[in-house]
Amino acid sequence: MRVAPKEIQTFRDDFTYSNSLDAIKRFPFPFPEDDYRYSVNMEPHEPKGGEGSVYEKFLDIDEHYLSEMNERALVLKSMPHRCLAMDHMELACWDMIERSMVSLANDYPQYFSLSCEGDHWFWENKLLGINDQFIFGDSTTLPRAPLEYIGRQLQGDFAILDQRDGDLFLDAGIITCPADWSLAFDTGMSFTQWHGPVPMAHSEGIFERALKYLTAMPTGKPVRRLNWTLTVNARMDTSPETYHEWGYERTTITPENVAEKVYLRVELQVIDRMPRSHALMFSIRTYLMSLNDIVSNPEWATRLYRVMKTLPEPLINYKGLARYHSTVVDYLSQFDTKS
Amino acid sequence: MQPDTFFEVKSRPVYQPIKKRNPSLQHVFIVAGEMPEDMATTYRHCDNTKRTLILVSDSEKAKKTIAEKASLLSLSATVYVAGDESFIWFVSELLTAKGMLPEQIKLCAPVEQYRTVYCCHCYHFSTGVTHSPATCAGCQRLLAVTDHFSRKSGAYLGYQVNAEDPADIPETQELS
Amino acid sequence: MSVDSIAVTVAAIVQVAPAIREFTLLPIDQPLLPFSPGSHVVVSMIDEHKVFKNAYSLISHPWDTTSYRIAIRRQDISRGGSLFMHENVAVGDTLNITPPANMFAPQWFAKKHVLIAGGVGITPFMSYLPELKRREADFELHYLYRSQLTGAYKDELAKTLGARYRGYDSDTGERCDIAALFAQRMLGTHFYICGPESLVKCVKDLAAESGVPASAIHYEAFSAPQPGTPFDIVIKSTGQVIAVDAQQSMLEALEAAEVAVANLCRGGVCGQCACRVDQGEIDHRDSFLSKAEKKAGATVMPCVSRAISKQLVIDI
Repeated sequence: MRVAPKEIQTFRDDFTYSNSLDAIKRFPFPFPEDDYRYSVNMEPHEPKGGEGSVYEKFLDIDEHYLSEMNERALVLKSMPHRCLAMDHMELACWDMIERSMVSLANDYPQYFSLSCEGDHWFWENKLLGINDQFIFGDSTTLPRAPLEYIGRQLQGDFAILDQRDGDLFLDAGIITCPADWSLAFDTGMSFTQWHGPVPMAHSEGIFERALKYLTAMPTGKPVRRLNWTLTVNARMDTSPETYHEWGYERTTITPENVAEKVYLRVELQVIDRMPRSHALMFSIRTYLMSLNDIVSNPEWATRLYRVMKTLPEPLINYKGLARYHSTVVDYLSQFDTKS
Repeated sequence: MQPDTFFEVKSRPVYQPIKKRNPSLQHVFIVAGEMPEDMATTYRHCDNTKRTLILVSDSEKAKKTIAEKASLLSLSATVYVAGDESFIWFVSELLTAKGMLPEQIKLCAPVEQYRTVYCCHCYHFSTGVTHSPATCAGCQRLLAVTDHFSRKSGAYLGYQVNAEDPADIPETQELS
Repeated sequence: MSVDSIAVTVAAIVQVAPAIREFTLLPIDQPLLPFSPGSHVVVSMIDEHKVFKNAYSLISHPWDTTSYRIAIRRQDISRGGSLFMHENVAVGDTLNITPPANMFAPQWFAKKHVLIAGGVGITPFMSYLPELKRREADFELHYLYRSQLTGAYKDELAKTLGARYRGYDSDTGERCDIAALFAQRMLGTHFYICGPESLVKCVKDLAAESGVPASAIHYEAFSAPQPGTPFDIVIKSTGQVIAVDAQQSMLEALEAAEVAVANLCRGGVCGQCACRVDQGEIDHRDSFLSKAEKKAGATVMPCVSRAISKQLVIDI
């Protein structure tokens, strides 16, 4: 049974965020092997893991829904440009509205409902108390710009990629919980360009293969992959824009607080072809789990120790872990079943 | 965030030597500063009825002239641009907005190494940056200048170099 | 969450030109998705023990989810897919189609779109028109056909497009001056060609001569697998031997033997089905590999290419 959204907790300041036992059980632990390496690692986005799993539905709504929507609203209030869409992306944004509303209404009928009379759509989001009607495709009939309107009702960041000339361009997005990248700076970049700063993967041809695969995607066959990093505290907004506010936290990790303060941050990325616009919708659904909670699963504890121990230096640096990586490894060493 | 000193950041432009694009019927040369040697050679190889030279002394004023001239270009035109990095990309973006395709726009490797840096904290663009870290002209933060480049803004990404530990400031290095 | 195949019923069949038939397809248990201009679906046709799979452009309005329409030219010299559609499919029959995929989408940043259609190559442009109009884009359509065989929709197009449409019936001596299409064009003009390979080549060559940038030319060449001499495929990893008969493509033979190979266009242009070849001489029939790659003989496109040797060892 899927846990219902609970009361609002915070991802900043007092960090009241917590994971229930159910949340821990369903957490998308991202390491299939003891050695971590970048790979294309995409698989069809098919239901997996049974009822309540993070892979059960097209979009995952969980106990943190209200907390995340609250956090998103806070970010957009102080930095509205964390959501932007270039003019030519309007049709793609409407494609995303349709895809999201149809699947949410279908998958969570207790929270969402959608009815359509031709172009006249009626949408209800019971969790946020939203009851709106609008003309599909006519942005003037929505209370906010299309991407912002739907993005404020979905967990996770979203990027919409325009496909042209056999390449993908980051031309729209709502990015309030990034793992350290700037939508404002990266807007308009091509696939290879926005992945520019990622070490090691380019020479292995990973992005070239991924681009070939993605540009050939038809409608109706979404794919998914997992990405990960570590974050200090349950902070959703680890953007370059606010780095001057949270950067210092990386110096506050000690052997005493490492298990409680260091979080494994996993992104479940879902990519789906938008039908009318031919754009790709890129969902970046973020899950945060403290080391304390991770090690409650002995297999995860051992696996995480081994991955951290063997993580190559360029990746340690790129993911911003240098200051506390050895403290994490030391802490996790007690869980290694080999010794 | 860590400075990317170990490897080539793939968003950093790599410039090819300038060659004449055949069989383009119109060749326009836009030069801010000195005309580089490979561009001069290409210019000489163009029929003088098919080539135009625009010498730019004031980049800001020139932008308007270039926009006007671009509207008169034909589908087979080629434009060759020389100047500092943010200027050449500004022109490239302008020409692209007018409908030019990448193969029609030839950019010369900038001679000087100064960069325009975008501060991700205050969104200001600091020009003429030659060293990293550099002080942001907008918020005065000390910025690490990365090699992550945006063609749209003609600038490199900068972030506060000592956000984690105010006392931890790397040695100033000349950018190359 | 994932759709592999959509079952549809043939609701109507209309002869829209002497050699072209239009099929209207209705969904059965799954709604149809809207699609982007230039999309195609792959239709599976089952004839006794053979499965034909051909890609056909969708010609219906991209936002119309009540039905899809495709138009197929009868090709007498072929492996039989179009013949099958023309002779064996009747109203009420069920077919299976893939969800739409698109390899020929318009370049929406173009200042002007010049569409050049040859014969049945008019089909992808039919789905371009509603969106070109919705965006108030500047465009022209040049339709080259032979009224004794093709020319589907010419009257409707002339009527609705007015001055933006020019038709050229070579059966009555009308010829399109293709070189003239490139003269006096403004920056940002893009050209789209769909039709036989010979037309595509002619347009590309003339465009290059006029100094038009290669990336301003977009094309979808209609090539379907052609019959050839039978040969065997050997799967390197398992040693399995799969016979490819004269009428079958390598891809179809692999699929019939339940060896999955990623594919998209099934016409030798997209590169999706590329397989490494360990041994054997390839008969390259695709438009994807470069001259050098074809000469090297290490990669084959099983959707259209075949073997000159009796056997081809595929490294999969």
